[in-house]
Formats: sequence, structure tokens, C-alpha cells
Amino acid sequence: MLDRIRDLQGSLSRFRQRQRASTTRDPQAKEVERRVADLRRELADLDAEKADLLRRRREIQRELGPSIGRKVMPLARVEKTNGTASFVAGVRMMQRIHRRAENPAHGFDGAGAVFADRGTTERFVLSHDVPLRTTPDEGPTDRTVVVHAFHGQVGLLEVAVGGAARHLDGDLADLGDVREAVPHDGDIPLPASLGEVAAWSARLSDHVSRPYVQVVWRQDGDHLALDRLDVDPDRLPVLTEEQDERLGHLFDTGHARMLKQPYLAGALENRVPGGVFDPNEPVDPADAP
Amino acid sequence: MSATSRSAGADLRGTLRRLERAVARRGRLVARLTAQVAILTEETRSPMERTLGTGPDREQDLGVASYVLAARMHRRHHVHVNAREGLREPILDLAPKLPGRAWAVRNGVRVARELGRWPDPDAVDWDALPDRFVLKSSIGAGGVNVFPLVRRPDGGWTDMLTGEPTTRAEVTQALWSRHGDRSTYFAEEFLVGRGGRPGDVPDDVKVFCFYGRPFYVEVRRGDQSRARDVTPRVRTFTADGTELHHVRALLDPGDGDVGEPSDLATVVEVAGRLSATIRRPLQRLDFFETGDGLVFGEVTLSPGHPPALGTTWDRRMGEAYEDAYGRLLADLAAEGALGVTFGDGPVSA
Repeated sequence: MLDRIRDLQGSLSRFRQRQRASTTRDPQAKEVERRVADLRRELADLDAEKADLLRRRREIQRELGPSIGRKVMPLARVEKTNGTASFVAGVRMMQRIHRRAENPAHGFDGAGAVFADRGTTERFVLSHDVPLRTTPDEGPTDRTVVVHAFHGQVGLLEVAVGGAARHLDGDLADLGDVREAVPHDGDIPLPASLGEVAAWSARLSDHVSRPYVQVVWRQDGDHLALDRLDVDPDRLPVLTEEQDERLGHLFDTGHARMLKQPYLAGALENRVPGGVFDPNEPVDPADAP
Repeated sequence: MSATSRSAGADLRGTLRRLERAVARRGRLVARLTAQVAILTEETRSPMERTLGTGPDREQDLGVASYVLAARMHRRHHVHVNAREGLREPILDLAPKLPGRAWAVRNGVRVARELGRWPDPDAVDWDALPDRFVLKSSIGAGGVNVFPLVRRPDGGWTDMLTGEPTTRAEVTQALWSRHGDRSTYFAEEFLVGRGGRPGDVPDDVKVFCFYGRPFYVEVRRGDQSRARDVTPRVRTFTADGTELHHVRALLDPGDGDVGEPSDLATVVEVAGRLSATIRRPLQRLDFFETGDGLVFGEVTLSPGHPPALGTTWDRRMGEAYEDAYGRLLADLAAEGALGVTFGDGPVSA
């Protein structure tokens, strides 16, 4: 062991002598030496950055772990998720898509054009046995009811008077203060016809080729009257995370229901030259190119 | 110059080269860790937070595209929602391997040569099969029902996914363990990757397509769930062949062992042609590049691991998805298959 230590000390001494020689006499070596020193600093900086990143990565993995019932989320598990339903993410995505149409307000399906025209809107509403106004239902003159409907399902109703609103779910149960931009007022009286308005709005939404539509009713004298169907609202409620996810599930359902129209028409079938692909039709392997 | 000086210079230059290599390696690692932290940070945010910015009026924020949110939505729909609502996306017809092969053939794309087909694992005619072949079940994902087999001199077999010796009985038992009503078993020729040795499993080329437009390509090696000791490695490219570094940073990029598509133009052309026949805004098409040309592998409608990409590429791919969905909706509307429907009710107020 002592011999080995003496060998190492000898090597170190010779290395230091060489270093001194190079630093004092050889300009090229000086440049190399300077570069070596720079790289050592760079490596130390990178090591510090690496350590910091590893610590931050570990922290985030710990933060994510409980979502899968573990202390730490393994990196390999991060991608293995179906994600979380979201009202805002879903609705805004479909809006962005339809706004890519030649006429962004109309969308690819023309739904925006249908509901931009009052006469066509009324014809649509009446064709589904929905009246344009309720039976007498007195209320404040500035009262509006916004029904947030998802292809046959109502997720949120907002009865608004003045700058406040009463937020209700599809069963007309109070949700409380769920929308930061519009304060909740639980004392706003509910219209007597609210249940009918919700049911009519749900029925109308079932025939709109979008996962989500706002059906807006306003006070008109002693009635609530249909104001508009809005398939591309500029303003979309930003709700609490819990409510955003609840409505997100309804959006997911609305999306599937929207696709049933082309599905039932056979328009989603896979194509092959000359028609649609029949998975039961035998293919001769000899046909393979 | 003295011998001592020359020796010192050589030592220094050696040190310099080692340090340069170390700095380059560490730089790559730091870049990858940075990308991982960015991706993981996004994962801590809810979809609503990821969609909206921090502007003064978030209720008027139209949000930004995200591939991972879109892909997860489709996966959620596929797994939980569509069946409940009576929607069976026809792309599901292409997911089982045999109909998928038939669809590719009908669209003029080459598939691996079929050597035999049997109704259950016991019926497989091993004696009629060559020394190298791939035995598969028509259903199953992630390679769980795929056995690339090479006969050994002692009469046994090597499972080339795991590199382990195996037997007819073990393979048969493994197939039976996942047998289902819809299972069919078939053997295919053992494909040889371009420039590879017989018996080497060719790399998977996975093309993420958006209604006729391939956008993002991955070359994967070791990506089979049965090979538990093998770490999947991936290299990522855009459809024009530009390699993307640290974009899918949660996966191992390998250490130079994963190849790149040797004929990406053909991969992209064929993938685009096939993708255009599927009425869905997104899907993944898998291929093998072989010495005899491109061979179709399978269709994946909702990958079990939808890629979590760095923010920039997540948005770019999200925009490709939204563009695809728009084109699909336009086609459906033009065919009269999508639009507002009027009822038969009275039209008087």
C-alpha cells in the first residue's frame, strides 16, 4: 500500500512539474491551459445546473405522484394518462377550429350563419316544437337566462340581474360562487318557467352540430323570450377547476354526440379506392404490392 | 522544446479533449433535463390553465392549441365516452392487425407476407414455418402478442424481442393467456431492417398524421412492453426530416444506436395517403423500413402514451391537429353529413 501511495505521489509531482513548465514557457500551451480552465468552470456551472434541475424535477414528480396514488410520479408514467376533461379547453378548441373556416363566424358547418339570422333561428326553434317565448313569467326588466347546453344536456344556467347572477346546475341546484367574473347572488328569484327554458334549450342544442351552445333568453315584458343561440361566444365562463371539469365531461359527451351525425350517415367510414373499407371483406394477400 | 514540455503539452491537450467531451455530454443532459422540467411543469397545470393565458380578461381568451390536450381528449372519448353514446369510430376497424393489413393492401401499401393463419394458439403449424418468422395475435397492443422468433440449432427458439430463449409451449401459453373471442393468430415473414442483419428486429417508424398530413415522425427501438429490461429509445423528426432534440424529452433518445428514416420522403408520402382515408383528425401509422422497401405495420388510434412534448412543439402539433379537424369538418359539411338540423314541428310562432 505504501509503495502505491509513493507511486501516486511521484506521478502527481511529475504532473505538477510539467504543468509549471508549460505555464511558464509554451505560449500554445498557455492558450490550451486557458481553454482547460474555461472548460472546467463551464463544467462546474453545468454540474450545478444539472443538480438544480434534478432537484426541481424530483419536486415536480413528488407533486404529480398523488395523482396516480404514489409518492413520486415515474417519468415513464407521465404520458400514460387520459388527462382531465375541461370545459374551457374543449369549447375553445372547437371554436378555434371553426374559426379556421373561410367565414370564421359561420364555421365549417355553417351553424354560425344559421343563428346569425333571426328568421332562420326562429324557424329552427319552432321546427323543434320550442316556443319563442314562455307563458307569462314576470321578472326584472334586465333579467337574462343563459343556458349552457351540451348537445342535449344542460350543464349550467345563469339567471342574471344587474351585474350578478345565480349559478345553477342542470337540475337547477344552486352552485354558489363558481364564476369569478360574475358574482353569485343566491337571492335572485328564479323564473317560474326556468325548468321549461332549460328543457327547451337542451332540445335545441341536440340539433346543433357543435358540442356546446349558449341559449340566451331575456326578459321581454312579462315573458322570457328567446334572444339567441350562440355557437361561438366571445365570452366563456371561467369557472372553478371543479366546475370546469364537471362541464368538461359534458363537453366530452357533446363532442361524441356531435360526431354521431356524420357517423350515422356513414361519412366517418374508412376509405379505399372506389368506396369504403369493409373489414369483413376478404383480401387476397396476392393483392399486396 | 524539451521532452518534459512536449509531454506536458500532450497531457494538457488530452485533458482539453476529455473536458470538451464532458462539457458536450453535460450540456446535452442539462438541455434534456431543462426540457423535462418544462414538460413536467406543464403537467402540474390544469387543462384550463394550460389553455388560457394570464391576460386581464381570461373569459375572452380564445386559448392556444395543444396536441397533448387534444390527443388525451380523443383517448378519453375512445375509452370512456363514445361507446356510452353509441358512437363506434370506424378507425376501430383498422386497429386489429388483420383488418389493418387488409386496409393497407386495398390502399396499395405493402404489408409483411403472411405465412399462415390459425384460429387459436394450439392450431399454429410450427413445422410448416421457416427458421425465422413473427407470430402474432390479431389483437393486442405494445407488442404483448408479437413474437419474432428465430430457430436455434438445438431446436428451440429465440424470442428476438427479449433476446431470451423460448419454446413452442411457452409462446403458445403466452398467447393463450391473452386469448379473446376476437383473437386470430397468424405468422408473418421476419422483416429485415434496411442494412440490418437477418434476425435483427427493424426499428419502428411511427408517423403522427393529421387527416392526410404527416407532421411528426419517431423512430423507436426497444419499444415493446414484453421486453421489460429494455429501455425504449426514440429519435424524433419533422415530416421534412429535421431532427428534433429534447422535444419528447421524457423518453430516452438513445446513445446513437437509433437510426433515422432512410427514405423519409416515401414514409411521408405513404403515411399521408393512408391517413387521408381515415375520417379522424389524428392517428398514428407505424411502418418498418426494410431492405425491400417500406412495409406497413399498424394503425394506432389513441396511443397509450400520447406524447407530452415541449411547449413549442406541443402547440405546433396542436395547430396541425386543429387544421386537420377543420379540413375534416369541411369535408363532412360539404357531403351533407354535418350541420344544423331542422325538425318537422310547426313553424308558426
